Amino acid sequence: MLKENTFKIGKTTRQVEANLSLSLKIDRFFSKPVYRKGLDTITIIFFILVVVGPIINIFSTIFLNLPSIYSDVFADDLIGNLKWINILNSLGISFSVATIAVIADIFLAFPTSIILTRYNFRGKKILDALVDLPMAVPTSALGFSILLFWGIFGINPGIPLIILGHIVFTFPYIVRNMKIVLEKSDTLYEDAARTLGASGITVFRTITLPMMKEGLIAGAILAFTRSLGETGATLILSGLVETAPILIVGFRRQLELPAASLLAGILIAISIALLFSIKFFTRRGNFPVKRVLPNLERFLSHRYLRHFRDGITLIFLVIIILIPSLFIIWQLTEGNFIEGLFSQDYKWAYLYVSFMASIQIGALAVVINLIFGIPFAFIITKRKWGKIITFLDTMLDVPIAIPSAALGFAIFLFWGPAGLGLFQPGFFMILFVHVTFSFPYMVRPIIGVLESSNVGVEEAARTLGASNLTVFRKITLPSIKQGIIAGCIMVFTRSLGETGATIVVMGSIRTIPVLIVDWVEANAYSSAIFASTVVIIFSAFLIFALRAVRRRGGK
Amino acid sequence: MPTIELIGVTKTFNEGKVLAVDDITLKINDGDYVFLLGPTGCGKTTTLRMIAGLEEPTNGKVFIDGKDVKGIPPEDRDMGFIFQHFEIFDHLTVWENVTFGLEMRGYDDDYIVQQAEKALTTVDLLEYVDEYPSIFGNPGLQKLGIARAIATGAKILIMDEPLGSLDPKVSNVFRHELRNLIKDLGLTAIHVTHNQEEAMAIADQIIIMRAGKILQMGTPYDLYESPNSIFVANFLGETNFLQGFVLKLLEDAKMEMWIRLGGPRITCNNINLQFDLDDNIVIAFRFEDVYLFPEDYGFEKSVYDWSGVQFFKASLEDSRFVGATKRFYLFLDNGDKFLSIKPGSYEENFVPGETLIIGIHIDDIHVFKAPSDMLYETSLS
Amino acid sequence: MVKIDLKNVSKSYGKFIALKNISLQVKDKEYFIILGPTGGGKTTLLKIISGLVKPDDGEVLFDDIDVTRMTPGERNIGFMFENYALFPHMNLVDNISYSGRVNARNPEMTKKLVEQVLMMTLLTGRNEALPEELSGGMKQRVALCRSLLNLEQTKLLILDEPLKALDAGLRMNLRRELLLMAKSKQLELTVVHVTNEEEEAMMVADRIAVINQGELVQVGTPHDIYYYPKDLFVANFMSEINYFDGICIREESPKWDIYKMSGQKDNFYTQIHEESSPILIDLNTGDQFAAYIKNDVSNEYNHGDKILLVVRANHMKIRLGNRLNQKKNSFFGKIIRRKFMGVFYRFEVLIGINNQEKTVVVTIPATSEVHNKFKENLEVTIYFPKELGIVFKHPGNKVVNEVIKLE
Repeated sequence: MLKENTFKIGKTTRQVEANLSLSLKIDRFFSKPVYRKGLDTITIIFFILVVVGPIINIFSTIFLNLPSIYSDVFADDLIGNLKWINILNSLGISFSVATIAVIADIFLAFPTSIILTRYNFRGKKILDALVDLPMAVPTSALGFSILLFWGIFGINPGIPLIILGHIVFTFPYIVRNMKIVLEKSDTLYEDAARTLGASGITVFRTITLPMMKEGLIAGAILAFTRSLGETGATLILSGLVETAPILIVGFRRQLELPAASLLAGILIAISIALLFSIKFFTRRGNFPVKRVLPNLERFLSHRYLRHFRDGITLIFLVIIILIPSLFIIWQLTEGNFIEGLFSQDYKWAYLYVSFMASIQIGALAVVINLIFGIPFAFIITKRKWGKIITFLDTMLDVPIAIPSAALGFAIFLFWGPAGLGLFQPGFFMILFVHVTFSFPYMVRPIIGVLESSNVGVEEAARTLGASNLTVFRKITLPSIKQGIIAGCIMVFTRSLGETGATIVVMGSIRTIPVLIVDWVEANAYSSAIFASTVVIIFSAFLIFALRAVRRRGGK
Repeated sequence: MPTIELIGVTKTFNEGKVLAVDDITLKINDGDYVFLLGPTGCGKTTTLRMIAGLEEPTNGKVFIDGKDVKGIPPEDRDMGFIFQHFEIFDHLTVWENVTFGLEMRGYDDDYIVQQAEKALTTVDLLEYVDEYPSIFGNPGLQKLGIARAIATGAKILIMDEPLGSLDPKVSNVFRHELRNLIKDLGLTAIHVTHNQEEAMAIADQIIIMRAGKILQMGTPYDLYESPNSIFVANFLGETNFLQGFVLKLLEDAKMEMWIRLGGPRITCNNINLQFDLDDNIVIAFRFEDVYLFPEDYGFEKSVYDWSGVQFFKASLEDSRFVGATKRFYLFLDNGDKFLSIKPGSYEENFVPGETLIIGIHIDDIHVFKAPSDMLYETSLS
Repeated sequence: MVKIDLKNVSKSYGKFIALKNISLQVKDKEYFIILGPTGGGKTTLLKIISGLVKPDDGEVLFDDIDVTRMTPGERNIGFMFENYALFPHMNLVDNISYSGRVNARNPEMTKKLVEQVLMMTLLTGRNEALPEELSGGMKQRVALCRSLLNLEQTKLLILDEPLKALDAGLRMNLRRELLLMAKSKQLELTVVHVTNEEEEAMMVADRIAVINQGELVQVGTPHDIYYYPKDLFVANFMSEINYFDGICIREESPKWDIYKMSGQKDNFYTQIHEESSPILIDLNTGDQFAAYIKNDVSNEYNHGDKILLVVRANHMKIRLGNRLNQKKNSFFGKIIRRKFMGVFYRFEVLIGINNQEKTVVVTIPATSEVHNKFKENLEVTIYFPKELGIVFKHPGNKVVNEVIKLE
């Protein structure tokens, strides 16, 4: 027993090692660099197989099969280049819809994010949660709700309805990004501008806006890619119109693989280009700061005009976003869903099976992403590999940016019968797809907390004699717990709501959002309403859980 | 007993692009309280982190207790480390914080309790053992940081700006407590700071660093009384600088210098005869070494011995009362400005604009070669 | 021309009371310091003066005009923030000329002014630099210029810890420069300057307001605040102190003098003798001690009152050996620590008082050679002139501990 700690550098620990508790001994053993390198390698291989592989594969497939794609898409014996024209049309529609939706969102999101960050009022938290809700709810349920709401006003499926739908579910992405920047940016600069004589609007235009530029652009591009890739709600709202992801689903259903892979490739390429432009544009480009119209802006900054603006914003927020998203719950009381569900075709059984499938897939995706997500987040934040990290960091966002139907198709090509042949469409392939597209949702929050977590505390623990793994277990893990839980909930909600990729790879299994699409298409409205309500409430519960976690993390 | 020795230690970052520490060699004796002092970015923290094992030197060797510690990770170096931002584990209680290092070393429970209680008593925190650190303000957190570092019984204590996050008033009081504690425990301590007052107040030895190199090391008294460069003279304590050139070489290794633009002529030492006729030089003298006399002072009646003191005239611009001291702002005919400080209860009431006789003892004047950019040398930005 | 009146200003954030009923006046062309520990309400007070924060109660008057409801822009003041708050997305010139542009002042005029201040501050040639490319000292100058350019008719400059982020040497120089700038004939500013460093406060202030825990403790010249602190907190904040528990004796008055009045040079003590009167104290050492209290509070001290005697470390004097018989106001003890601190030597002396050991801190100038005599473990007598003893009503041990530990 070593009582007196005599100073013997490098020996102290070995002398007392016999007395260390088992867990500390294990930590010490596995803290050797070789184990760390091993884990890093496995994680990187996972990432390459799951995210990078399918994407490279789809481009190489297109490249290798150019002749067959050409003959199929551009010079078919029967229909000539009709498919290509279809592809171009669908791309045109998708881009117009996304552009209009994002612009509308930005106009609404500016005042909303300011109301949610700079004002204090009763019910702010509830409003905040409601604004976030469309992000968590499966888009097909959301789309159905919107269909029912605007149906009252005689708006039938078609492009206007698609736009209304896309405005709703991309809105939270923009507001959230603006809010993050506004919360982070100190009011210090605004105060400074005010003491220098700037009025409210002048401060906003010359100080706040330029400083939230990054968040604005990031949010806009994210919303744009989400809109570009959305499938579930669009299937319900589109009627006869075909957006690009829907066309992929169509091609896939008809087993038109060459056309599907071309369209998927184009979508993926565009999305990746957009993703890179985030980093490019946020650094360049500026808002006009120099020209100032002080008197006009001072007039516009008047208190009453500000109240007017806030009022209009709230009205639009309620009519365009909030009521359409929740309209379906009210509809539940109208139709007779019990009759629909318990009719002869056993809809309740389908509902049960789909619900369980969704939950199983979601849970497994969470577990797998947890296992690889934590080491991956560590690689991104802690390893100093220079350019490799930059590459991994950018690639990590790719699954978020590219349309899920295209991603699903890429994975189908890579792992399915046409590629490696390891999986058939069905449960495991759905799981695989879900793991891929939700991976960034797990890793990003963990990276977030790791970056803001304090390296000094870890160093303090090491100088006190803790080995690397002990530091991770006792110091790092408790401080990033919030991020991990947030990541898990995000992955689960995303998995629960996903439609596009699932349809591409599902085989005979139906997840909940797909089931809703099916029922709506089959005009089984009352059952679809019930199913939608169930998932909306379930998602709302998840989003409140997520916010509770975040709030505790903030303290 | 613990000694620390660095031999030719160099550290570069970003693949050699940034040179943080440039070939330094130093030795720290057992039981010394040593300061690494220098402006922000001079490499002092990097040096400290290399000693603690949080960075590996690019070149050179670190010996602790005569043993090369290359490759030994920080957890095996057995040192206490106190951080500027405390780095307290806020998810653990005060007690768990303090016992963390002891647990890691696998001591038995009795010893852990005994050591932790001793450490907490030392910093006066024993009553808070079951609380979480969030109840503390900065001073409390740093006390806890100290308790955590000394509880393991490590004989070397390493501190990175330990008082830097405290209010000036608090840190002024706290620094004496810190020194007393370290001396009572008989630790070898290394303390990094950019605050020269703090270093002067509590160090046994000060090592002054700048741009990755060691400029001078020694006791506070040695550094204060015989700085080896303009930088050190300016950095430690408050110093007047006047520029001029060598007018005449005198006997006894002395010389007469002429302050620029027709200022007064001042005789100063020319140790080792290092300056020659017409050399541009800078003389440096401490604020408190400037004697002030009214113009009609009767030196012939004075009981004091004024031999070795230089006299010249200057005008008083302003004086300010600063508590323990009174500051007199003076200027010469050529416009050069300098200061004198006296105790706060100094009784002479000179009025601004008055002409005074200034006295400076020849041994209080330090002479340096005039640098090409005086402004840069004396401003630390 | 601007003077500021604060009348009964209060502000709280939820349950936290930031300011409690503050009334104070800043005179025209005055360099006014607000001094206090971090979190004491100093910055809130500045924000109320500048209009960034509306007070819950009370009024703010500039030149007798109520500005409580005015926006910061309408008050037309210069405000320099703690971390400078330079707009990160604007270059140096755009930062400085910002107020000119948003107030639609004559662009030619603004341009000329900007060029002028750039020249004055040695920043010419860096016009296009972004704030992140500047050093700490440069940022400070840019921030100062930016706030100065907003001054039109209201010549009020507000500085929130303007030197905090700078290295010590630079800070010393800039203190003086700030003062000279404010007092210069062209500007003649009224300055309100917040700091938590007592030395900085005394070095520049015409008057100092000490604020602690949202309350205004004392307002006065540096001399007043140093020699006649209103309570233990102020006394302790201005320099290192020693304190002793004692009992007030009013039945007799001290018959002895430490310093004989020696003619014309004793202005310092003469002033104290005029403003205050002697009081006797029993410290339970078997000897009587004496101190001075201001005439206007002299009546408040009754015979037998518990009091606290405070003596600043630099007012303590030290002699070798036991001289209790020769020196009044004296303690006998042993030097336990001795430390060279540059301008001063600092001694910790262990004395016995009231059957307990107590450490007393004594600092003496390092310039005279006498300090060489005082080595560790030597027996010494320490004493203090009765004119420099400060007396308070005893606030209770709890308060004493709180103030001394500063937690």
